[in-house]
Amino acid sequence: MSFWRRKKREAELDEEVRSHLQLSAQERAERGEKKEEAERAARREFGNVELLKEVTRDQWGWRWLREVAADARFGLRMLWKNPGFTVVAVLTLALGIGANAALFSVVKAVLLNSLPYREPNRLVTLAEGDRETRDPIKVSYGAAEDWKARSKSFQSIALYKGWTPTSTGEETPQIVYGLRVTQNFFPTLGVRPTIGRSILPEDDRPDRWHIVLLSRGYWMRRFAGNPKVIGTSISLDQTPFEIVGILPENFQSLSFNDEGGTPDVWAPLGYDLSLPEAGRTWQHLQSVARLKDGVRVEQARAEMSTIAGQLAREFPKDYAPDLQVKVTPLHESWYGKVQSALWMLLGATAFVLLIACANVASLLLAKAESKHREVALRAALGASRARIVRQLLTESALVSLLGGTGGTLLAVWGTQLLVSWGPQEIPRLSEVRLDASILIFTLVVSVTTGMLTGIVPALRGAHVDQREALQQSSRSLVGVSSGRFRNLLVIAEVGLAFVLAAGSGLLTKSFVRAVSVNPGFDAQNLYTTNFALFGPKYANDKAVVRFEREALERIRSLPGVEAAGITSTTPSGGGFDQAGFQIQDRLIPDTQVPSVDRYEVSPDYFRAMGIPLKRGRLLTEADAAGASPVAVISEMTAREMWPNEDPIGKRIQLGGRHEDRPWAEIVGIVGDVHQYGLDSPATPQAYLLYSHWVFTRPCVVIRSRLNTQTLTREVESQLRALDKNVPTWNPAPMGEILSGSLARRRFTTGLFSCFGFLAVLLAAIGIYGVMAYQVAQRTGEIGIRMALGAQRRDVLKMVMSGGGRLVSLGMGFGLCGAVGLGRLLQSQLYGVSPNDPQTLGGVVILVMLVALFACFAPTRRATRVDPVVALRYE
Amino acid sequence: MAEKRQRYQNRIELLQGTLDLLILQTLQWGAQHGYGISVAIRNRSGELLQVDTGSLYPALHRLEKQKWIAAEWRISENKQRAKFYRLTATGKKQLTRERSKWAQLSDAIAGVLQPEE
Repeated sequence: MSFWRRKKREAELDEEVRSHLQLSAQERAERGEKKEEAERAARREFGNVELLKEVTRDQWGWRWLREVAADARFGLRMLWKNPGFTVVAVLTLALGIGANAALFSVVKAVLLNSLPYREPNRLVTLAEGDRETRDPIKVSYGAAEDWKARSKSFQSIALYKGWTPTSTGEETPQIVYGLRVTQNFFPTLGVRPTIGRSILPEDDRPDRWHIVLLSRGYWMRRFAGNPKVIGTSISLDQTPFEIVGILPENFQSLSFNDEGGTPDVWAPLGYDLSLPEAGRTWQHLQSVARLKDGVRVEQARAEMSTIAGQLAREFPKDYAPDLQVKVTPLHESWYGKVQSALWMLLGATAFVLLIACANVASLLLAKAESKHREVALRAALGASRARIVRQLLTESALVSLLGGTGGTLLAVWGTQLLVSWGPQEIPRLSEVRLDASILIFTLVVSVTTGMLTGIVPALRGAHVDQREALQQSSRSLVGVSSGRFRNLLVIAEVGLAFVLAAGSGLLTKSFVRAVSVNPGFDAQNLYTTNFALFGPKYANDKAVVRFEREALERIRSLPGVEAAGITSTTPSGGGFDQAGFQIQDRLIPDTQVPSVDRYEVSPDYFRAMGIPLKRGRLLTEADAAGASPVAVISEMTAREMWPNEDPIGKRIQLGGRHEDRPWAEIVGIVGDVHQYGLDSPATPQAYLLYSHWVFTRPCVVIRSRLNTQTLTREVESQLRALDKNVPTWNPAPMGEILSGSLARRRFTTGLFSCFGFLAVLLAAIGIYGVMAYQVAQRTGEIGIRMALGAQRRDVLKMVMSGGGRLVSLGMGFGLCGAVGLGRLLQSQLYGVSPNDPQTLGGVVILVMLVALFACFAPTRRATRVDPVVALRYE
Repeated sequence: MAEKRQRYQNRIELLQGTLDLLILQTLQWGAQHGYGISVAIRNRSGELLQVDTGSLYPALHRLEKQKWIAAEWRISENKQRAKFYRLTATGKKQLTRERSKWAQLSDAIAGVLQPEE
């Protein structure tokens, strides 16, 4: 039914009715009645014009739609007329819905979106470990070969490792992040290059692996998307690599460990099977595998655990007796760590939305009460109860749809904020965007909110005794039962807000505890940067050591530098290097020996880092220049390996027992450091000299009060002076690295606390609203009481006790909820028990203060009631 | 009032079909506007059938939707603009159908009311 045709029909119907009346009146007049008499008689005979029009309109069809449209128009007009109510309600809902939508878009991108590979739910990661390993992620080449030979669950098993070559040929030498992968890596993932070709089996050989694939991003950045670059070569680590292919834009590469950036280059693994690393004891690769069709993850797990048992028995020298193979679905290994945090945050936003709904429902109830006369009139005019309920529901639906629109706008802004604040560890954060599913989600949430908030006020509002309502009395008639429901709402709000506030308190306390953990070194005025030595010039150990020594001397001679050292691994930097700890006079097979964190350092490292010496002595330049190796261990290592003896003087080897090589003598014991982040426990550590265990990618640590830019510039210039092809990367103050290790915790805590604050604010508004309303309703009663002799104090007590009762009940429920929440949050807490009485007590006081503040204005108004005015108003 | 009149309340739920028949029949004698139709029915039924406008106009619009009558605006005898309805060809056929249905119905009722023989 088109709009204009309907208008025309309406006009015609009007005219038809008018002409009927005229004709009827005319006929009566002809029969002798007076003109006004005739007209009145004609109208009376005609009957109820409006009812006739309604019934006629029904004949035209689309009645339901017309009614909804009429309700909507009326609702909008009502909202426009009450700007105060509308603004508060829409804003409240917009906040609640917006927070939910923003967070849901993050959850969707990170957790729910399927990974951009072919049939991603068939992909798993494999890792070796034993009972001692905290979090197995690595495999050895030998182990992978064993699995390939014996397992029947997998279509293909691919291996990869990190690779950070230096690219020369641009202005300055640049570090590029990349991966070395087996030739079945891309087929396993189901990814094909958009231009050029992928890695062929004949490329994956130790002598012929100098080809490379580029990511689209790197191709655009460095070569401006020039397709002719295929076939040309780039120089990586001073070796020419032929560019053979470009990968698609949406390709999300797996990354190695948690360190480094996103990979931009891929080269074949080209594994040299003659090297010791190819054995079964060097776990330095990562693996991704595709399950065969029809094989479930549990079946693969069972098979692998059987195979692990077989391998441990057949190769006791290579495998620990309790060897385990961890099979994890790929998406789980990607986001397993952030999963619980994200769901927890989503739960918090749901709470906030519930509180917002309660507030708006309360407002709607108040409005419904004030409209009882209008509703009674409608009922008298013939509206059925269902129709009235529908009309009231339409209003709340309008409010929530408007709120949803506002919420969507807020969510746009909110998602951008979340993405820019989000720590790097949350994978796929860059994929977060508002798309159709988010909009549908927002729509569903808005409509549900509308139903939730509106159903009770609508049902109550429609239930009105017509006769009483139409009388002139101004007293509220919906009275007790509605008030009780509003009290219930307040109790619920206070409870929910309490739970969120308690959660925020626990998380904040955990964060504060984590931040104040002593990392084991002095992070103040500490600066780090990395450089790399590559190419044939540094294939010789002596050359590397000489460069590193000279570089250190130059850096130390800079004005403002107090101390400088180098290390192979930075604490809390995300990387790690573990090695088996062999003691000379204890014969333990390599497979069962405990692991420690291994560091190769310069003598001045400890002074530069501020790691305290506990016993014995530190390493010296003489040691470095000498032939016999020495070592320093951490306190924890000393305690665990030599509980009753003095470790000083004992001899050790790290990374495998080799009787033909020299043993390092322990000369000192230093304090523990936190290698895996401030909120992880300390682990046993051992330090060797950089001159005896040579590494080509050192991290330089400098103690200095100079600022980062100056230091970066100076260090770079010193290194360039020695060799202009040496790249530096990742310059950062140590404080930044430490806080980066807590980034996820900070993000979760901050966000949760925001929601907690929002919840408390909304609950306070709710309390204020209900109290103000109650006081307004009881103005007459207060007037009578005061006229009968009640003092201001008594009125105060009366009002406050009412409010106090609600808040206490709410807090009671909140406490129970908080205890439950604590249990749920346990994985996120650090150093704080879930039922920490200090936190809970603090939240109780906070909520009481907030409630007091919220009740303040209405209470004051109550005590200022002038009994004369109140009674007269009656 | 000398005689007691039987005012037959025309309720739309019971006599919807019958009202259609009456309207179609009335229009067979020429186009007429709503008021005229109600007057005609009242007169021809001897003041027994007073069609209440609340039933008449919805019925007219319903019949118009079914395309059994067609409407146009004309000037009436007393120089007033009114909406005149006339029977269409399909309407004529429907009238015949309704008349035979009514005849069947009244025969059936008469048959039931017949005393037992």
